[in-house]
Amino acid sequence: MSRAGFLLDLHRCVGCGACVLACRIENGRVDTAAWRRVLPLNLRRHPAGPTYFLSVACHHCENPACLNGCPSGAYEKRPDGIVVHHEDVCLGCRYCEMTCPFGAPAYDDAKGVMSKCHLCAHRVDAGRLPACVTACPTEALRCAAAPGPEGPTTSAADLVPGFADPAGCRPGLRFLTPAGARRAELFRSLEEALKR
Amino acid sequence: MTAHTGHWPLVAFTSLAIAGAGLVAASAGFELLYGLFSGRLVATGAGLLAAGLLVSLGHLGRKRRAGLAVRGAGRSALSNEALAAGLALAAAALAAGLELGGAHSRVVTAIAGAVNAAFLVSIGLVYDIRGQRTWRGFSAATPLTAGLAFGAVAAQTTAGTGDVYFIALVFIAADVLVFSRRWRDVAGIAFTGATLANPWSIHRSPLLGARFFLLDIIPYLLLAVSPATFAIASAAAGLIVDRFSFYALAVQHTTEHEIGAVEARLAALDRTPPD
Repeated sequence: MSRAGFLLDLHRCVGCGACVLACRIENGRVDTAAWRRVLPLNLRRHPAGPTYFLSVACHHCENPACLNGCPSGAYEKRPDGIVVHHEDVCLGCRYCEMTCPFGAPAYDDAKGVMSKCHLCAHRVDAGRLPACVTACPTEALRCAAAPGPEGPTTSAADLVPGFADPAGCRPGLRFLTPAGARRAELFRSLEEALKR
Repeated sequence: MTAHTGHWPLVAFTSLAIAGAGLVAASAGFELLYGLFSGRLVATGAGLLAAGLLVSLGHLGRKRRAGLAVRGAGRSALSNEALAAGLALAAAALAAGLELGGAHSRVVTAIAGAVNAAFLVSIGLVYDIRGQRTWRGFSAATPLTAGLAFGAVAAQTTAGTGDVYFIALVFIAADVLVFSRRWRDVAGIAFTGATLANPWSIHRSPLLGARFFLLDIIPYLLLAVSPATFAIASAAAGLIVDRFSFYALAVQHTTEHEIGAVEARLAALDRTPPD
């Protein structure tokens, strides 16, 4: 079975935030911390670097740090790769908040427990796409099979600038990137520009 | 941790727990090497440990579910710590109870010391998180060395013999070695938008320096001259500063932090003077 994951096309994302809003509405998270967020990079449009938007949520990792660290077993990885969180056994210790390199789990003050994106598992089970994917007007955010255990490891050198070091988690998010928007390329060009 | 303010219960919990377990472990060392054992000191250690565990409940969003914390034993470092904490408290209480009841047992004391040392190691392993840049490397060993250093200062001061014991100097020296490496690691982290947003990052050197002098240097000098109660107070203050700085300086290497690093480099280009 292929592993569920997101694909973000950085050519297409315009940072409109429709995915964030759709997630909030679908999951009833109007007054609490958002599971998805859109992070702009190089908003000032400095010519030395690319400008784009990172729409990020839980990446449903192959080796999830949240699941491995959780003391009460509140996290579960489904056969299709979706990492779900069970609020009914969560202690609210916030350890997953510390261990996740992407800051995906969010603390719900009202309930005293953590919560996070479940890739709209209820919609996926009904044969539908996640709300964020459906809402994206430019089709920048899509659902795509993530690399399996035998697939290539996402290395820090291959990451887009701004994406956190996955720390061995093997995130299920992949990017389509504009030219020059690879981490190593951009940092090399910035170092050279600084030397000049 | 810089993103939320919920670390005060953790500062209190780890300060109390490290002090308590350090007292028990160091007392066991004094007993085994020199035959000096203080049931009151071990009882104090057990009391501090119990108080720390009570405080740790304060940071849980669902306190009534605390019993579930050991479900992940073997997989989760936090579950291992919770399990080790329970065993450490039980062993310390048994050792103190036997001593105060007039039935002292060297074997029980040795076991209590070993279990409490293991608990200190388990605290360090909880925070061995790759995404947290200031918690890497030697940070995982600091709860053990800091606890033993504090316990040794207290054990020597309360021994009342006026002698300076080699084990106390060894424990303090070990903490000096481990902490100096941690200090170097933290000081080597470049300032970026995310780290500069944390006011404690700017003052990291005075903060780490205060911990170093209060927990290691001042007690060491006082013990070398003459054991004094002030050495315990200084070491206790150093332990609290250690735990506070541990959480206050935490920088989680998330996507937001990475973006801050890129933005800082782009901003540096703007500041480069023209040829």
